[in-house]
Amino acid sequence: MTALLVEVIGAEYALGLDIDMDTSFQEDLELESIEFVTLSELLLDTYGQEVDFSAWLASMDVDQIIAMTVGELVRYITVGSSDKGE
Amino acid sequence: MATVHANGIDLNVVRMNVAPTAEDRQSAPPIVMIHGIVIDNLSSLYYTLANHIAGGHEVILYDQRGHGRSDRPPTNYRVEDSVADLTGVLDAIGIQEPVILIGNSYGGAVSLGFAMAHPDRVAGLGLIEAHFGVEGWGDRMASMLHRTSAVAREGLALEPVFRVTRKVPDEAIPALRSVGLDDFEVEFIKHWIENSPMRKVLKMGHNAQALLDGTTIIADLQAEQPVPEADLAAITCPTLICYGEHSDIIDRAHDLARLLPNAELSIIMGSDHSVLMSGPEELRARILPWLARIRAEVVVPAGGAAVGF
Repeated sequence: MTALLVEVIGAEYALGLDIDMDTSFQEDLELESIEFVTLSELLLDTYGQEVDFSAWLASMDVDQIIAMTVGELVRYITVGSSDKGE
Repeated sequence: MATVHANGIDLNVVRMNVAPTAEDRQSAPPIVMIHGIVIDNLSSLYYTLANHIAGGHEVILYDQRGHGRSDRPPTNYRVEDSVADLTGVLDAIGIQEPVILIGNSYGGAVSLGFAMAHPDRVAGLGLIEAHFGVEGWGDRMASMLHRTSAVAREGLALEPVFRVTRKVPDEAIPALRSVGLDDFEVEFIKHWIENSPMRKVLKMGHNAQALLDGTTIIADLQAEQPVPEADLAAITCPTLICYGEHSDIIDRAHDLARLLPNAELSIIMGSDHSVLMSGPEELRARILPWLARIRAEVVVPAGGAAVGF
């Protein structure tokens, strides 16, 4: 997961960051909207063929999506459960 | 997500709910979404429309040249180049069946351009705050983009101070005013810069500057000619025209409604040109039933090609 994030945001920026499941995309990583899309698609390619990711994202507005933590996204894509948006 | 080589460049493409066969694509035409220019990329449509629609259709989004994670070639930013990019993407991913295009702002100009160039490849047009060539459009776009470029330049000049204080210093305000911003706009930009994540603000500024100052986009758009009314009138596919009540280009809505023979006009009260981001629920309430009507009209005979559009 950290490797995917570094791929999306660039090794130079990721260098000083301590990324764990509580890391927020907006506050901590300052991820751009397009980077979140890229990360989600990479995660889906790698882990998440079975989850209805679109329906899950559609249940949230843009601000809620961007304010997610790494853990919330990973939990949904890898095991299809989340405490957000359902 | 994939990189697709189209029209000589690499474009970032996201495909959702991929339709496995040509028959699937005929009964529910794929939807291609095309974003606006400069401070935009596929993510605006991804968050507001794509995921909500992906249940019934394949949805394809891509970053236009110079935007998002696509290549930023130095030249060729005319509408016809953008249309060639779209054609190239569809060819490269093997979609020859008619598609539904949903274009926002400049993406509307690309959608209209594609529909005029390839009428047999379009099953429907969803136009959100669509721009297109009218008398004086090229000059107005160039003027607006020159101003955006100046704002990016003045904003990025503050980068060393901003990195330390995260504030736009008072002494920088005259420079922002000097590029033509009024008090309200200066306050709006200052508030946005100071309340958004710093990395995001700086990347947006650098990307805008690279596109506006490092490519021919402004000159290319300035050279755009008006689209002949007869060409617009020849677009016969089902078309949904959505504009905000207070849009600065609301006249385009009435032009399209007057000219396109199979169009319905939907004005969103209280909204302006930014309706995609400010009123996505309202937009979805218009677009989803319209898509259902298009689907209902598509008839696929057993073993044959779709008819009905």
